[in-house]
Amino acid sequence: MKYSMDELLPIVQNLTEKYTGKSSTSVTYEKAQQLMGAIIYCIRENDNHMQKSEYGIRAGKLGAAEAYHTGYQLVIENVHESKKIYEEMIENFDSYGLTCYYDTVVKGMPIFFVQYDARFFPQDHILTLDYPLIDMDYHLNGIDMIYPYIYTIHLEQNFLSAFPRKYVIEALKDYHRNYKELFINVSSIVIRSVLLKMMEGRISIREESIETLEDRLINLLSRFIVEELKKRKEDDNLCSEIEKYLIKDMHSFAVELKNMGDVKIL
Amino acid sequence: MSDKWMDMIVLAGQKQELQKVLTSNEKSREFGLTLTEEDAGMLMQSRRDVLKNQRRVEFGEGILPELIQTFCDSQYLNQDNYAETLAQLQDIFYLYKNEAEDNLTDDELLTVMKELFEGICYGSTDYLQETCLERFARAVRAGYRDYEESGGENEGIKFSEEERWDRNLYLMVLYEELS
Repeated sequence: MKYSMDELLPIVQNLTEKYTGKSSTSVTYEKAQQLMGAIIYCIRENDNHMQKSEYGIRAGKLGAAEAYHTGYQLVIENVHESKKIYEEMIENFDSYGLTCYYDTVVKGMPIFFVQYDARFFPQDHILTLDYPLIDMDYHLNGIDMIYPYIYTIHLEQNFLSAFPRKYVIEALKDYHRNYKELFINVSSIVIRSVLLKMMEGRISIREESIETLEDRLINLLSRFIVEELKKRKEDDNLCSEIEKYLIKDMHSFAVELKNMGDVKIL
Repeated sequence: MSDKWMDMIVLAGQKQELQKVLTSNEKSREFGLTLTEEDAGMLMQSRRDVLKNQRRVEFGEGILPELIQTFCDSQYLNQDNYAETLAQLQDIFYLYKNEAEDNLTDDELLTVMKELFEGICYGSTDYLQETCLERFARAVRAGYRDYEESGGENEGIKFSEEERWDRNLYLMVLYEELS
């Protein structure tokens, strides 16, 4: 929803007064931009929510102030929800010795929950999120970046806990002896290791296109999810979500296999 | 947010401030000081220019009414220099809000400025801008925060380093010359 400067100015003024505690009549350009960014972020949050909800489509356009306040409440709710998921996940979190995984999730996330400024700087997610996910959307910011990030880590941990710890460590060591200091995604390494083992005999992939390879990998992945993961996890919805996440890695895996040429699978 | 939007924000607050500036004549008249509409217009334009130069934004009425309230009883202001001095003080105010990296509230900065203007600077805005206020801002940037308790009172004088006019020394030398 687009709002005019006339609609937004009173909200910015109000927020600036809150920010300065009425002890200053002026702020720097940079601070004003940040505060305007905060308002636009919350309005956008409301817009996204309205577009997804039937009520929102029927309700039509809210006034700027109402859109901002509702959006701000949504930001707060998302922070609470993220924290809930994080607290559940961190109890049994295992970084498998990967430094960036540990630093991001164990050291970094608590800093986010302490320092995140939902009121005056919601668009700043503070952390660099060094541990890479299979599908990072770098266009997101603020809690919109962190919430799916934490949720995905939670999915990954669920996936990885289906394997003996030793298996995961071996897969990582097979990838690179000194894996601990690398910036790699553990789930990707493990699922690729699993899928390679599932491919029986010698596979000549020279004549296969990347698309065909990708389809084969996706089929193998689905087989693994049905035959193995669902037995260990007993939560079909969770397994579906894990599958949807891991599928996103199959294209780049297919490309890498193609680049490897003839592969003998033992 | 573009500079054009910043200009719009500054203009939006201007009408309110113009009215308040003219209303402040009620108090300053006690000290023989008034601003004409032309003076107020000049001060508004000066405000726009200095906010743009200092890359600052005011969302409501600006600092001018407070500036007038603070300085209108100054012994160094008269009707001839009133508008011009207010413009210079306004410039100095926004400059030092930036120089102190927004660590000073408006009231704290005005208190420091008034004390220095009346005490050490003897009404000179150049002296105010280029000496102890500059040192004070530097200290604030380095982490100095003693002014928070006092609200800025008796702070600026701590940073005076210039050799001063000393009345006792003057009288002593005069006496020696005459005797």
